Amino acid sequence: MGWWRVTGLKRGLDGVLLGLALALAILGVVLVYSATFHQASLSHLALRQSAWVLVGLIAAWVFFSVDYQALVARGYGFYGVVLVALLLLIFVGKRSTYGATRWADLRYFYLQPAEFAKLGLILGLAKYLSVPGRRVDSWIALAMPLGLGTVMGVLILRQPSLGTAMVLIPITGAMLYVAGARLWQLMVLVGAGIGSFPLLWHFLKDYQKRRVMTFLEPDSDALGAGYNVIQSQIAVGSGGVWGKGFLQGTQSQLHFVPFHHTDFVFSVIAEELGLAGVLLLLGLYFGLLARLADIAANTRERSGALVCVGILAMLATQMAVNIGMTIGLAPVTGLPLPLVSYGGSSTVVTLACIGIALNVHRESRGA
Amino acid sequence: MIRRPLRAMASFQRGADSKRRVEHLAWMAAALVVVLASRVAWMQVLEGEAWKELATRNSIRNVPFRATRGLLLDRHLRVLASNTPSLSVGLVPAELPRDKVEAERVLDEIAILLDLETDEVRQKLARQRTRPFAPARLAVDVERSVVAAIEERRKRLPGVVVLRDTKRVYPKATAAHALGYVGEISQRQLARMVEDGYRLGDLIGQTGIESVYDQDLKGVDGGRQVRINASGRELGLMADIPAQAGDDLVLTLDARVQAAAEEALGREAGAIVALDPRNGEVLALVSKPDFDPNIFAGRIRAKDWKELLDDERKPMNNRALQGLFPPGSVFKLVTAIAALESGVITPETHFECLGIYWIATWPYRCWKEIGHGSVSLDRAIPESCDIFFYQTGLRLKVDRLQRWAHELGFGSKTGIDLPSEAQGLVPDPAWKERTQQMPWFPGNTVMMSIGQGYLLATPLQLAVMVATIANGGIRVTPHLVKRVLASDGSVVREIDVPPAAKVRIHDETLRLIQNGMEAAVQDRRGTAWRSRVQGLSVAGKTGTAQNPHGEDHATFVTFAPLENPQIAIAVIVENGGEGGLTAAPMAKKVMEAYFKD
Repeated sequence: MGWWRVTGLKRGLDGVLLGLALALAILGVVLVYSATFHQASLSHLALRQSAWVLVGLIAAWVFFSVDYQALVARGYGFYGVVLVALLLLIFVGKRSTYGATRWADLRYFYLQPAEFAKLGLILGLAKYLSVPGRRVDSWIALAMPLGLGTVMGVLILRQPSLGTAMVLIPITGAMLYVAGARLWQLMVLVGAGIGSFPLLWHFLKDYQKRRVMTFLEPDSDALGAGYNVIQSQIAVGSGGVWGKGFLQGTQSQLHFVPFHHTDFVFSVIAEELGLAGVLLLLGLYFGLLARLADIAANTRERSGALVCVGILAMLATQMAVNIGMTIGLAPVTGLPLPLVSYGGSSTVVTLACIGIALNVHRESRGA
Repeated sequence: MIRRPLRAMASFQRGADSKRRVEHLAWMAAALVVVLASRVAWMQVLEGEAWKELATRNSIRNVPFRATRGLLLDRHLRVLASNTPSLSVGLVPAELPRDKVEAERVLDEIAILLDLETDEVRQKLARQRTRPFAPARLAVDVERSVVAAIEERRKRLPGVVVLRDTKRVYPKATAAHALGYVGEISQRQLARMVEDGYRLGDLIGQTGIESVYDQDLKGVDGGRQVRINASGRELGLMADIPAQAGDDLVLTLDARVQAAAEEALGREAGAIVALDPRNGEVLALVSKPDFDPNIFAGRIRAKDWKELLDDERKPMNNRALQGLFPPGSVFKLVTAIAALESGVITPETHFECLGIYWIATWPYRCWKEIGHGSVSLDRAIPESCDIFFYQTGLRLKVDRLQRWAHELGFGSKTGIDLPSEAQGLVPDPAWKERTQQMPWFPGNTVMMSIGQGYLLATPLQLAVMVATIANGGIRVTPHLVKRVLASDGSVVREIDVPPAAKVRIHDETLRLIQNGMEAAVQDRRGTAWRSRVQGLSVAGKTGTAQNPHGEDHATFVTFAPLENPQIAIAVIVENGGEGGLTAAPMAKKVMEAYFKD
């Protein structure tokens, strides 16, 4: 069985999963269109997002066509490549202290490896956890997978992208849980993590905290962030049951809500299509997540199940954190709404993940 | 095909437990969706009316305050640029009266108070369209009497706010071209830089150090977010973020040397560049005529701006790195190095100078009409014999001459950390063929060998060239910043000395050139005797660049002390006549300032 394998598209294709992902992606393009409708300078973004969806579908097809077990078998390789890319960024970022463009360089790149990092971690963990006879029910056995997550998390924090780094936690947690880690051990770890943060924070001086915050999330000058959240809450709340109508949202169309084609795209659907639109969107997400769980539960092959679980955790977390941020339930961290927010690397990586899940589904039905 | 399912079976330790655990995750995902849906439903259905009220009468005001810009300090921490408080007047678009006529009245009234056209006010508001709750700055650096008049009419001017800003000051009004100046970000800059976190209304460095190191200097703006009532009164504070001051820069400039150089050039047009030949640190960078960067800091008067732009002497041009001049006889140093390194002459080679030299029927003259007689290199450099170098150039041929010109930094940017550097021109036959459809004549080589003809260089390139000769062949990269300091004085980072290129020249060659330059200053017949400094071994080379448009340009390059060079200087005086007469004494003043302690 080779690395590349041309497969008939229809054979074993999970139409439900693909359909749900496509529906979300199309909804995303429509929302980006609305969000940028009155801004001439951004009006090309809906078209560009459709192009990203197409690129993503090609990526999905590729990941659907290859042998996913061969992908997982090269899991460490993927993990390593992403790690090197992240390290390289730090190196490049440090080297160009001379001249004025270093920030632009750094920031231009930071999104991309971070998006791919999530997939790299999923594949790396899947490889480690699917080795026959692997046990993860002792502290020592947990060290390696936790190390994989931590190393990558620290590098992403340096990007700096707090949001993406945080997503690695549920990914690792969920995969460990399904791989058989003891629940109480995971709980202790999460507790220790949460517990140590304020302690650590306590030792920082005020100006250091501010620096850390601006370091982690340069866009989150709180005047901006607080403002964004209030404005997006107003947008969501004033949407009512049926919304103000497509392209009719006063908050979004008057640009009171910033970043409304990227991070705050949820406020556009909530304002213009109201609760009905929100339930549609959440319904699609729920369907997608349930389907991923279904595939994970029904495959008899361990690595495939683990990969699907990782993808499920990644998408669920991003969805929850992004929407939570828009309605004031979560801090502003700049995570995109998967498949819906404008953004090339996020869209492509997410669709590629869907491709892998489709692949696992096909194989689970017995090839 | 058959092995894989078997392998899968072998590793299949999952079973019911693992399946159950996936289900747990599905339930958690479902719970997340339910929580989100409930919260949205709660907001949209139960609280909907309240949010709608807010949406129609949005009543939040953002009052940003600008971060204090980092200081610019010279190498001995003397302040070159700092800040002083000033007041600005802004208008919050969202707080204008809803009634069109009423809104127009406010615009008219504030325009009159601020001495602006109503259209200007409208334009500034239009640019603020994307952030209607933040004030658009209508006027900066507003006088107190005007602010008082606005406060008196507060009730009649809804939306008008007074902002506490700072404005940039340059206490010594020195080194304008190196430091640059600041101004409000333009539409074009914004479009380019929005991804770097710049926003409308930001102050940003427009040129010079202020522009190149803007990210270090600008700091992080702070601000307050307040709820207001319909008449613009503040009801409550929602957020208060202190601004973080920008980082200070310690420059390589020495304010005293800089001042001496500026004074030396005086009212002449031209440039002086002084480098530390050991590492490329720029000690002084003068371009004249210059401008007062302070006039940009506050509210620049249209008249001042127009005057600067229309001035025929182009004071905004940074001649030190944008001005292109034929280098004149200072280029003979390059010709001499090229000739010695290629072996076409030796220290013993003599050429006869009779004051005129014929190529076929074309006469080429020496500046000294009666001629220098029989001349070798040891006299050709100090006495700047043209005919010696004509013949040297002819032996060298153009390709070796232009290759060595490139080696010594001509024809490419030096890489200084300032914007808009010119790269100059080192002509060669291909270039001439391309641009003038004419072949390269021997006469072109002759002219080039004494730094005339098509050859063009910036004063900065000349300074780098002489620094390279001074320090034994290291082509340094000139730079202006030593380190970045936080506002509490701690070091944020040291700026590494940018990489330098090693030019492969024999020590013997360099020694000959340096000795020739020393003789030019110290000898009775040397052309550069006016740059002598008591008790200092100065080496120099004069130049007088013919200028088809008028009086010759005076040029001079020098370094000192000969034994362990600490300063390398290039001087160009536009239409200054003879280099030895005009430019050399200026370099002397700069060296005196540097070595006086």
